[in-house]
Amino acid sequence: MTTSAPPAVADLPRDPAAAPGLTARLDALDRITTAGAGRLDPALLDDAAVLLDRAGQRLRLSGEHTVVTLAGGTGSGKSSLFNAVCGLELSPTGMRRPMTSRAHACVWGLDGAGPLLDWLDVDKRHRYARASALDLQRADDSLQGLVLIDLPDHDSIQAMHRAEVDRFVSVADLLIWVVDPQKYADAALHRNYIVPFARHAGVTLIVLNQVDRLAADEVDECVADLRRLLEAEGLAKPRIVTTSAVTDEGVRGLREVLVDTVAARQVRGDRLAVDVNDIGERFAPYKGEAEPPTAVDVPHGDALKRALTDAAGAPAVAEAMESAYELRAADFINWPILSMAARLRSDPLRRMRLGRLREELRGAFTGPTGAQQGEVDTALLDVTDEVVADLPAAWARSVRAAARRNAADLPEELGEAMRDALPGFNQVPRWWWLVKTWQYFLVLVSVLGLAWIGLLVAYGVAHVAKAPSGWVGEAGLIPYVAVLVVCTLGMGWLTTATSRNLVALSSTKHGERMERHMRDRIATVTEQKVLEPISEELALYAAFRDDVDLVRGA
Amino acid sequence: MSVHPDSAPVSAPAPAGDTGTATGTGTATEPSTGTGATTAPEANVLFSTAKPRPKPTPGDGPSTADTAKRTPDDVDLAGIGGWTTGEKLVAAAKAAEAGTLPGVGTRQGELTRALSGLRDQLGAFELVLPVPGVEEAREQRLDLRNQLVDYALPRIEGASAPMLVVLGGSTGAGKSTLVNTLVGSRVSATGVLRPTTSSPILVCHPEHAEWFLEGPLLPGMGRVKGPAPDAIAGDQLVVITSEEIPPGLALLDSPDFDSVFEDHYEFATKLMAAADVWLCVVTASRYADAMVWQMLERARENGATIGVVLSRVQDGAGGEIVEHFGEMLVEHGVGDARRFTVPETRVEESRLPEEAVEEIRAWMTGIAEDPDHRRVVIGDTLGGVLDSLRTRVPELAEHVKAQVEVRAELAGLVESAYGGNLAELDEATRNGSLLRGEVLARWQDFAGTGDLLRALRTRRNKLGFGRRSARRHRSPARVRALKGALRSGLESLIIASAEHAAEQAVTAWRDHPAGAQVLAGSSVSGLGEISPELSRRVSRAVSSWQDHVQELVRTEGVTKRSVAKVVSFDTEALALVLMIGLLGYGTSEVNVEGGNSAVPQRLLKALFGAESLRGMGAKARADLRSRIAMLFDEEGLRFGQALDSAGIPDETVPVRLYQAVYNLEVAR
Repeated sequence: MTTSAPPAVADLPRDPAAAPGLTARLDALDRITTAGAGRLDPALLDDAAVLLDRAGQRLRLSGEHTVVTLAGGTGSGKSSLFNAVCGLELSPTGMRRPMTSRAHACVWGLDGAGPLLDWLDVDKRHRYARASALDLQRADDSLQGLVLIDLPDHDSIQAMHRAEVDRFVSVADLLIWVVDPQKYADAALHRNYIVPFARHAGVTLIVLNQVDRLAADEVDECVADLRRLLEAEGLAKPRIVTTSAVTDEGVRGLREVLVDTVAARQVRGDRLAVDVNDIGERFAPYKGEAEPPTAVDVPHGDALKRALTDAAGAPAVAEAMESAYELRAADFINWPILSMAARLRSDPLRRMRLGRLREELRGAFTGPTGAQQGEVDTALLDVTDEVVADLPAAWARSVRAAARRNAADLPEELGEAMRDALPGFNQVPRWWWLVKTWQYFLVLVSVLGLAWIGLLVAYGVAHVAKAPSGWVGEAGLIPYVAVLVVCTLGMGWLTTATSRNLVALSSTKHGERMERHMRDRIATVTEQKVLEPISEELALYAAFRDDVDLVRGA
Repeated sequence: MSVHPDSAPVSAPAPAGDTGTATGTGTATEPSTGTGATTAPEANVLFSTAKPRPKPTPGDGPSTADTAKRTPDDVDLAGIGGWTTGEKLVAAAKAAEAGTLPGVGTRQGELTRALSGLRDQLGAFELVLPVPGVEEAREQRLDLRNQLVDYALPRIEGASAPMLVVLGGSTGAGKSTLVNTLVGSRVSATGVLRPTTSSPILVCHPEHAEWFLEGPLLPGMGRVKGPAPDAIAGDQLVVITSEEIPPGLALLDSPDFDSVFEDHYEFATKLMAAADVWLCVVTASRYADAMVWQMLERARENGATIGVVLSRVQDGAGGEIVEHFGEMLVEHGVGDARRFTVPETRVEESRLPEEAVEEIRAWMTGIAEDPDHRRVVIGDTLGGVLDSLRTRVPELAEHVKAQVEVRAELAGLVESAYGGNLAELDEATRNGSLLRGEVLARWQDFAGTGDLLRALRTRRNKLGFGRRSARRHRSPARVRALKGALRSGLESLIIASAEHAAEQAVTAWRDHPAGAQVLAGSSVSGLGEISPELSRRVSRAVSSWQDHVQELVRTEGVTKRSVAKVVSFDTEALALVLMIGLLGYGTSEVNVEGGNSAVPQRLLKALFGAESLRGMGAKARADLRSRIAMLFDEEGLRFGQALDSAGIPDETVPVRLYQAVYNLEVAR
């Protein structure tokens, strides 16, 4: 192949001689190759790309010409046959083996054949043209458009020859295998060429050469045996022609076949169609039998959302936030006197010289911080189980990979989603201030009450001095003021208890709302980051299935 | 020579000891083997001719007239085949050491034993992995085994049996025609259909029919007494007797080696290996076929004595072809093969004109009628075959080594998959990445609400004033929740990691040709996933780790004396704090902002002292790691099982092969 750039299949020449739909099928093959990258067997994709490349180039090159190769074992008489068809001694023949080492080409009708021969990479020294003015006596219009190529053997000790044969048989339009009575059952030919190219029966011709060495009845016997052998190898309706290069008449049958083939101008498209079929068949195992689902079903999707919610720890986060809320509320609503009492209590932390730890711990509530990778991965494990159950292994893998495509970002995304739900929690309701004010007012009242009692005791009971007013001198007031102080303290306690219950209620409400919010946001993230990639991959697979059908011509 | 005594294992039988007893006890212990009857007289003969030493009484005398009759031949043959061909350094040294010439009979027995041993070793393993060159290695092994079973052992046993000339060649080369001509009647089918001969046909003198029908040659093939019926399965050897064939010679017409029938190729190579002389028939039109030269080289490597017949040479260019062919023979290292030419002539009644085969017939008759010459040829071939073992078996052993290496490579892939994930896991349990989501929320709940501090109690003030009883009942709930969250976080981390490792290992195998085969043939299912019982094992491991940490805190958490006076603590809660600290609280970027980065560490340090804390931390971490490593080992074991069940040879096989060759060298 002279150029390696892949062909833009879209602008392939629409050749009427090409089999109908060939271009569409090549287009489909191109899409398969693109879609399959990274998903299917690379060797197969490479083969498909090579075929696309070759098909594109061949379709661009002369459609007027038909490339026919003569291939066979050493000594089967390929060159003699070649010369007989050409009518000239172009390719050397002889008794030594192996004889021909380079491909020789003969062209009938030169117009446009040059690029084709360049593409085929036939050595310029080994190119010959017929139907030039020089040999009018044998000029044969009926073979106009034939490019006949005489190949080296494929079974000699020269390994190089085999590579040359392989190169040509993969690009030829019509394959002619030349065999002779002595070696028509050779494993080298059958195993390496006939069987792999069995599906190319339509563009294959078997020539039994050297029939002059057999008696007439032996020829029939031989052909029948050869036919039986070929059919056993999967070659449908093999075309067999007998020839003998010794006499002119001996190659007439072959000539006729060539004339028909060249005139029909069909084998080029046929050959490519078979190749496309072939490769389509190789893609078939990746197609799978059952109609694939288009998305993860609802129960599995829900299960995944639940699992991711758990992985992000949404309930725990909500609960922690509730605790934080209540803790914050406590600063406002707690009965200040109790707090003071608690501060006086012996504190182990202080004894351990960790006094500031308490404040630091209060700052522990930093909000949700994403999910754990491990739990996210575990949650993603099973989500595709149901979907890929009927998928071929390669696609099952790719769907599974699609599910995990964003796995690494997911913890962060989930954290982000949960943080969005936070603000409702950070506000400080107005009534907390009211309560706080009320509490301090009560504290003030009780302090004043206590002070009053103190004054009453001082002036009314102990008579330390003359009471400045009757309000402080009347000892009889003490019980009343005491009752007032007790009531105030009781009210403070009552306020705290009531407020605490209110806070608990609203924190629960907030917590529930936040959890719901988080669930919703997590569900959205799950849709975007997990379920949608799965659906996309499944859609790709569905398109792939259609394309495979198209390529296979089904 | 690639095998010498140095390279053989030390356990090889000591040569000196063996030969020292060879004369006395060797013969006496021999009769237990099948060859005992014939070996005894040989020993006698050799002693009487070669060594004037007091003759030990053999264990038993000649048991049949037949053996007695064959005795001289046997001795001579052994002399030629066993002693004069090749360099018998080992044997010579042996003899020198022992100061005596070892008894031939003993040697034959030893040889048989060594060959049987080699044969058994060759059959004791399978080359299952598709490493480069494995196809050749399999074929090589089959060849070796076949040659030992079909040729070497029977040849040693029946040393006087007629010389077997096997005709091989391409389809349509005219093997059958040649046989028919040499025999003088139509014993093998000929025709234009390819391939013509499907079952091998052996022609021998009536005198030897019994040997070929009953003898040990080619034990794997059935025998049919000819003339054969038409339809015969390929693995039947048709034995036809003909007076035309001189005694001491047998002709075998083998199937082609290059037709579409694969079994023909198998039989052709099998028969080639069993030949005393392999006569390769090629035609003038296909002498450059790759297959012909492959077979010739193979025959050369197998140590066969080769003859080449270039048939169907046309009159015109005959000289040129013969010359070219000769050049090619030299080029391929078979230049010393005996060459014959048969011109292309009319075939009548499946036979060539007599003059066409004159040369070949003369050569054959020459060999057949001159026993000495025949013995030389037979001995040469046997010697050549045994010589070839020196290089062929080590070559095979190299292939086996390659298999062993690939096995190790596959095991290494699994190991690196699990090892890599274990390292990642180790890192993840250290860098705080576990402290996210639920675990972190629970920790915040636990630490922030003061439940953590409530786990510390002032000793003197047990009934602290103002302890909010409403909160107290939630304290164990928060501890439990944090503990549970930690457990499930660790569990899912381990399981995800194991899953990942299994997947990596399977992917690595799938990308490896040998691994792909092991996977395909493996009876261990679900390799790419975690084993079903893993989650149970993991939760057991994690909860027992938590218990272990708690136990550590209880027993080793020696509270600093200054602290112990004033504070007591709740083990369960502090164990959790320790775990959170171990898992890297504060090291992860997400927690730094709060300024409370190292709260657990500071608290613990204040409680236990730095040293004690370090000790506990190290122990707890080591315990976790070893538990996870154990889990992973168990997971990786499944891959080991898959490898085991694939039947890959182990590293003792090459050693045993070398030893078998060494034993053989010693026995020769």
